Amino acid sequence: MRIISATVRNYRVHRELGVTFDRALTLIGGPNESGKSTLVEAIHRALFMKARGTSEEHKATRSDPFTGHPEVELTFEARGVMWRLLKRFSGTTGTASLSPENGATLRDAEAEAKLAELLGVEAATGNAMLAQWAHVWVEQGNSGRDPSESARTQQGRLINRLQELGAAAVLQSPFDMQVAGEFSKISKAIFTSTGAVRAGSDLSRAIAESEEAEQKRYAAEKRVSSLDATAATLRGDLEDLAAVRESRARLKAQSEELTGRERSLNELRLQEYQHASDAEKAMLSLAQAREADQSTTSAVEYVLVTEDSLAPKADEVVRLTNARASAAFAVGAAETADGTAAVAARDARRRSDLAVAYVERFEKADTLSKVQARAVEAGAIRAAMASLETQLAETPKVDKKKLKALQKAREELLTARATLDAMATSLEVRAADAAVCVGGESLAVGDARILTDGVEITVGSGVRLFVQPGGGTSLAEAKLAADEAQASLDELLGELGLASVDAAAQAQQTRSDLDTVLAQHQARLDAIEVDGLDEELQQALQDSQVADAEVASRSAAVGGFDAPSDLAGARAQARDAKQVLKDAETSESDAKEDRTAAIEKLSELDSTLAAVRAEMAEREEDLRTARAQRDHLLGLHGDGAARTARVELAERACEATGAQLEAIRSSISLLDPEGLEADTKRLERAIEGNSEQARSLERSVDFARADLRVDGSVDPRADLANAVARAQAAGEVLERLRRRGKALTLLDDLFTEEQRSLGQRLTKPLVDKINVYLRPVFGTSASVAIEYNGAEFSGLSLRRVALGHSPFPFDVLSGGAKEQLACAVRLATAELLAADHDDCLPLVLDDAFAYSDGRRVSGVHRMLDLAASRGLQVIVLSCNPADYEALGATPVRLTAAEPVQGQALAAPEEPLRVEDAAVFASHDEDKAEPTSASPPGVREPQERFLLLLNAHGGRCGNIVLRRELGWGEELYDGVKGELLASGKIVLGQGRGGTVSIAGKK
Amino acid sequence: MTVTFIHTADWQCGKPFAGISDEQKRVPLQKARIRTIQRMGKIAADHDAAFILVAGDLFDSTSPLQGTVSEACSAIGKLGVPVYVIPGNHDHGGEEALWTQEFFLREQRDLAPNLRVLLNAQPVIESGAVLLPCPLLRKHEAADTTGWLRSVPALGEAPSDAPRIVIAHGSIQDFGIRQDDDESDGGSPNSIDLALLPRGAYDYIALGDWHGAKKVSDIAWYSGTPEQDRFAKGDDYAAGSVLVVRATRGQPPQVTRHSTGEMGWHEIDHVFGADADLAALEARIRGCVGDRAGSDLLKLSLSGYLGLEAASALERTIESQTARLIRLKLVNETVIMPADEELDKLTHRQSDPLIARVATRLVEMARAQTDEAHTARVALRELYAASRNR
Repeated sequence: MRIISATVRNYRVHRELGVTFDRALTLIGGPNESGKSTLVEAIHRALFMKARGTSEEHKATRSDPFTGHPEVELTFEARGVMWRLLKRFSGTTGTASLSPENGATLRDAEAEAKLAELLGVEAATGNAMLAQWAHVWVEQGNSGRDPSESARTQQGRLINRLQELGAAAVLQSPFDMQVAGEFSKISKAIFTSTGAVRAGSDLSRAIAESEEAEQKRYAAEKRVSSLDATAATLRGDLEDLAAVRESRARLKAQSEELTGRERSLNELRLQEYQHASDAEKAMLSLAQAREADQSTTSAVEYVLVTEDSLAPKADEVVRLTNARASAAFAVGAAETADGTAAVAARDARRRSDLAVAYVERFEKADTLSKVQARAVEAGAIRAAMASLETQLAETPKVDKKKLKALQKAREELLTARATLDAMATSLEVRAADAAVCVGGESLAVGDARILTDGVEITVGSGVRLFVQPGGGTSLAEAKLAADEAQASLDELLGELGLASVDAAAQAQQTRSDLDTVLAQHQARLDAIEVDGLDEELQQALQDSQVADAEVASRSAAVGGFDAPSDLAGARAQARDAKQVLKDAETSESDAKEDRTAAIEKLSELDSTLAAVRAEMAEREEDLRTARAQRDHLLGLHGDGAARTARVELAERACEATGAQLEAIRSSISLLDPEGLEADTKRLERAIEGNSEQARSLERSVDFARADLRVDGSVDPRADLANAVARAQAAGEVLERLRRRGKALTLLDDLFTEEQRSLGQRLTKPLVDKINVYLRPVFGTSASVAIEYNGAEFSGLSLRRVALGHSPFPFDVLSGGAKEQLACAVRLATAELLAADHDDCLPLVLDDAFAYSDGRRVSGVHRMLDLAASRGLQVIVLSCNPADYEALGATPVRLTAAEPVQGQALAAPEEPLRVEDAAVFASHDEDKAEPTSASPPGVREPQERFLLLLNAHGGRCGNIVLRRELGWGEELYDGVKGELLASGKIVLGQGRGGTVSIAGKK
Repeated sequence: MTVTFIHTADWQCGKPFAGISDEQKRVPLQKARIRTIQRMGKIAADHDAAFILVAGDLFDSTSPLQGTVSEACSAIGKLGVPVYVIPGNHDHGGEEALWTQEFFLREQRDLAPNLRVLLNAQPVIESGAVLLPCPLLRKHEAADTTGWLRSVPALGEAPSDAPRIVIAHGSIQDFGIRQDDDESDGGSPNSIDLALLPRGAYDYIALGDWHGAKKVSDIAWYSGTPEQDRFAKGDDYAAGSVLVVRATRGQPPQVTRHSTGEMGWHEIDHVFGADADLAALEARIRGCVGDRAGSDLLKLSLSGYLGLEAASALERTIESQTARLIRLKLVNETVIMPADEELDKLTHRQSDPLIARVATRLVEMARAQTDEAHTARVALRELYAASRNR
């Protein structure tokens, strides 16, 4: 089937449009709203919509601006014949006519029926009508849809064609599918997608039951084994108990044996006691005999020794008595000597004392005379001094200071007079004829006066002169100063009662000399130590008197003493007497010592003699007693022989009893008394331990018996048997279900596998053809897969070796790839289906490559060209025909102006917008396209960018957008930058960044 | 002097029959074990037996339910003759055993005064015979319980012509007891060496433990259980009877077997060569069980190959028999493989190519000797069943 030409009248925007199609490739270009889509819609409606009808689709054909009814006239080839079809959509009065080349025209129903037959479709309305030939009719905006959807209407034919082409291709039957579906359902009811057992399934229940049964079996086993264990323990305990009891018997026997030994030991111990007593007695007897012998012998010997010791003592008494007599005599002699020495010493002491008294008397007398001499001298000095002081008192009391003051006053007077004199007028009477009186004082010739004061001078009586020396007052002042100095001197002199300063100096000299003499006297007086001299004199007098008395007193007791004449003699005499005294005292001391020594010696001898005598007396007493004792013992124990015999007898008795005791002790030792005691204790311990063990075992046995006592309400062994059987049965059920589950899974898997395998065989010719069409676009490495499950095609995917081996499902492909793959599928499908249509089908592609980039577009061109070369009629519609300039298609131009001017603007259905028109105009001259109003290229990069962004809801990631645009980064970034600059888009967040239409969220 | 008595053993009263999944069906088997005691009374009376010897395992457990104890005592009490019992491995006389428990002693006193449990290995002179019990005092006795008889014990005041009867429980040297799979109680290792007993010293050895009646020497017999309780072991397995023994001092005993069992225990081993063999199996089952229900047990061992349709038919037969029988113990090793024509129906299914392809692959897997083969066969059956619907 091939469309040759179409004429559209009053169809929506078209008033009248006629287009002739190329047999192979036609490119219909025109701007938006120029009616390209309307043109292909009109052709579609002519082919598939009945002319008569009032449906929405019918109404949509109308064009309000035009008065005529919509008409579509088609010329097409089918079944080797050229047909002319005319449809007039005028509601219920719509008409259709179909005229074959060289044949009768068919009208209305007949025409419609024939047309449907030629097109191989069932008459349809509504959506079904719209979907007719959707597989070759790509409406604007549908190019990116999965083409397997649109293939459904042609599925039957397609399957038939595929079966014709695929030699071994068979098709699963509905029953196949039903069975496969059942197995899938059952399998999925048992297992989840991960192969786990599904909860609630029979298998899951069986697993739970089996597990529960196993648990019960385990519990029953445990119960039984616990009982068995208790029984085993009990048996063990009973055996142990028997052993313990046997052991007890053995211990008892041992205990009895020990008791026997103990008894023997006790008997022996009794005997030992008795014999020990005997032996003790024997030993006592022996000791007594020996003691008697010993004591008797000792007494005899003691007497002899004592007698021997008395003789030397008597000799000593004699010797001591003699010595004492000598000593007594010596004492008498010593006492006499002592008395003589004492008298001599007393006499010497008296003479010495007298001599000393003489010395004292002379010394005191001397002292007295010296003191008396000093007293006389002091009296003389004092008298002299009194005279001097009288002189002094008579002399004016001018001291050096006063003298100095006088001298100073005189000096001042002299000075003042000098000053006065210097001013004064000197007057000398050199010759006088008359008395010259000056100031009343008569001057003789030769007298001179110094006039210091105004003075009246009279010469004679008649002459009176007044002289005023110095003139002025200074003379007066000097006069006054001289007067004052005179007054001061006079006063001082007056005070002292002196006439002149020289007198004062003389008086002062006199006083000074007197003072010097006085001081000399005083010094002499001081040298004599006059202070206390009277008392000293008194004392010396008294001392002298005492010394005299002493001499007198001592002289009376001493005879023949030559009294000394002076002190020196006295002193020599005293010295000699002192020496005599010293010698006498020495002699007296020696005599005393001798006497004491003689007395001590005598006393010593007295006490020695007394001691010796006392000792002798004691010994004699002792000897008397010893002799009495000796005699008593000899009487008692007999003589030595008798005593020896008795001792020997006692010794023999002692030996006999000792031997017996030793024998008994040896027997005791043989019985091992210590060991016996330890054994007894040990055995007691063992018996106690044994009893404890027995008690413990008995308790344990009681407990075990209590445990094992059955009440007959359950039989654990029967329970176990039942539990085992149940577990086994549950296990078998489970195993059966598992096997069935495995079998069902296997079936499901096999059905799925075989379905896929069948599908692949069936779709192979289709896939092969698609791959042929893909090659110009994606290269030889690209291939497609498409599944057919017996009911429908699905799973369209594209595999590209360059991008890995995993196929990309159609849905995830980019917009461009979707269009291209969908086109290849359509071309392949159309090629397959063309067999029913004289090996040709028209393929309408309305704006079908909006997302394809430049490089791909050339591939698309080759793909479309390939389709054309393989017999398909390709009709491409584009608002941007420049994109297809390399296609080599026959171009058809539609202009935007074709709809009616002005009125079109008023039309409610999206008329051409003014701004668009303006844009078109601006591009007008750039276009080489043979169109009167070349569209502006809505596919200009910026517009494509915005279009696609809008298609994404106004917001899209850069990466996705660029991929879908099929642009390089440079182009993308450039366009994006322009749009950002013009404010049409804004940047957003997101990985790789996003862009949004300005103003959209 | 000749003494007639009944030798029996292994009553195993209170046996749970756990292998029977339907608990209701266990009851008839348990009741039958009591009824068989009652039947012994008539045999004893018929043969003028002086007493009955039970050579161990009167009870199935050392701790039977009170009801079981009471029922057994009641049945024993009605036997009319003294009953001498030794404990066996199931009801051994250990400390935990029921024999010394108060409840048993009370029931024995009240219901079965003629019952005497011989717990000690010492001669008992009774009814003109010397009984030489060899009781088991624990489940597994390492020592031979007849050890004490290897030299003839002092028999005291026993008449010299009184027959000497040994009573023991366990397996004899050359006759080990092989237990059935699901009846296994670990076997009885209690080993008895009869050869070590002095020849001529004893006149009869009454053995228990082996559940079929069996003569093991001139004087030694296993009596077997009076009521069969497990599937037969071997062709000469003679369960469900008691022995009437006439023992005379110094002479071989005269032993006769008397049936006491009432439950039907059957065993069929069947090999399927072809699908037609299913009919033969049904005939064999009918031959055993007839048209009875609730009174038979069948151990059915199946092997060979069956087609899918025949396998389905077999399943129906099994379903019926499972209901009718007290127990159907099935050991089914039959390989269920679609028959060739069945396989063809699947693999050559022109109208449903998918099913055909899946079936073809399953057939390949089923024929391979792999673990998957079994799964594949099950899958084939499932597929067959699913496909048969059209």
